[in-house]
Amino acid sequence: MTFLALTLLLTARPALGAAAPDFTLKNLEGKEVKLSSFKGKTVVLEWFNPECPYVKAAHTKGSLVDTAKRAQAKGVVWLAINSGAAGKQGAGLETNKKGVATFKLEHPVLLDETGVVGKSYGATNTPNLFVIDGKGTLVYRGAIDNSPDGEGKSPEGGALINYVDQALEDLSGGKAARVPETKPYGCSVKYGA
Amino acid sequence: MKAALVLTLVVVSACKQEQAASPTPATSPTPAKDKHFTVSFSGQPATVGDAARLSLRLVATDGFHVNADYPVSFVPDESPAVAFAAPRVPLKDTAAKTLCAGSAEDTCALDATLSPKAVAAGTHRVSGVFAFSVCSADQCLIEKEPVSLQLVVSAPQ
Repeated sequence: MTFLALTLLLTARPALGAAAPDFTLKNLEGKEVKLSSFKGKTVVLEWFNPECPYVKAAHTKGSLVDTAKRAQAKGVVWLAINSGAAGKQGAGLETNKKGVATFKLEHPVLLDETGVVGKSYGATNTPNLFVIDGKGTLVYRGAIDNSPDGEGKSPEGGALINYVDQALEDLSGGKAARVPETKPYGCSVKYGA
Repeated sequence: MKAALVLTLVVVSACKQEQAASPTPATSPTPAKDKHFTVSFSGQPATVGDAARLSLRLVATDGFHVNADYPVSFVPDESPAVAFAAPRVPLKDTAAKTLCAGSAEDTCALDATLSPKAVAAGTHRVSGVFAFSVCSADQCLIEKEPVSLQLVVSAPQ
């Protein structure tokens, strides 16, 4: 991603504390999923690319292992979104179905091949996580954790912090996310032109 | 007097070409993993009790650059020759960076120095895994490159 493209993407994104942009996308079974239908529930959006090495590492060794399952068990809605354009790395129905099987995902993967939804959130990386509270307000965006190797083995500052776990814990306790924003790491989102 | 020999070993990494599991010969050879970098690992002779000086050099090739966000590190194997201060040596902030030709932001080469304490005289193998990431405009790759060298450690005079 060029510096100009990144700047444009980040300029267009919603502010923390603002309403999360609504969207309707199809899951891998072709069923439409509308964000606003989950109003009243906490929602996590995970930008996803099953062929990105960071996504692979995070889902097989790192902080994304079982994080979604733990969150869903507490009533959180977890949606993965792939904004890769057709023909790009990790894009396409079959590739994502394979990813779901490989990573044993139990949450929906939504396809956003036009990239409209990804760009509306300013999603730059895979993985890139967003947490939306029950009122539809964006309360966290950034990395899954503080270990930019994707494996949880090189946490910056010493101890590994799963920022999404932390934000969900804060929300469930009626508090604001103690760390509302971090710098995402990983592959670039494979947007089309 | 210390030997003036400088050991330099360009690492021909253990390029893990996958072997066909079947005894039936493959109809076409399995292509080697594409590599978009070169790594070299070298060391100067050391003296027991002193810090050895080992050098790791990564050069991104084929239009790839070094991923500046990745926590570049070296994970040493057990060695009778040297003792590292930690089981994982972070290199991201200490490595010298060389920009790619014509780029103001992308790094194409990293030079890192490792300074483990030399603990036993003799010629010993020092090895480990060099972890880094290289990216092109289209993809980022996480690499775990095994590296090794023979290090000469002399007894103190």
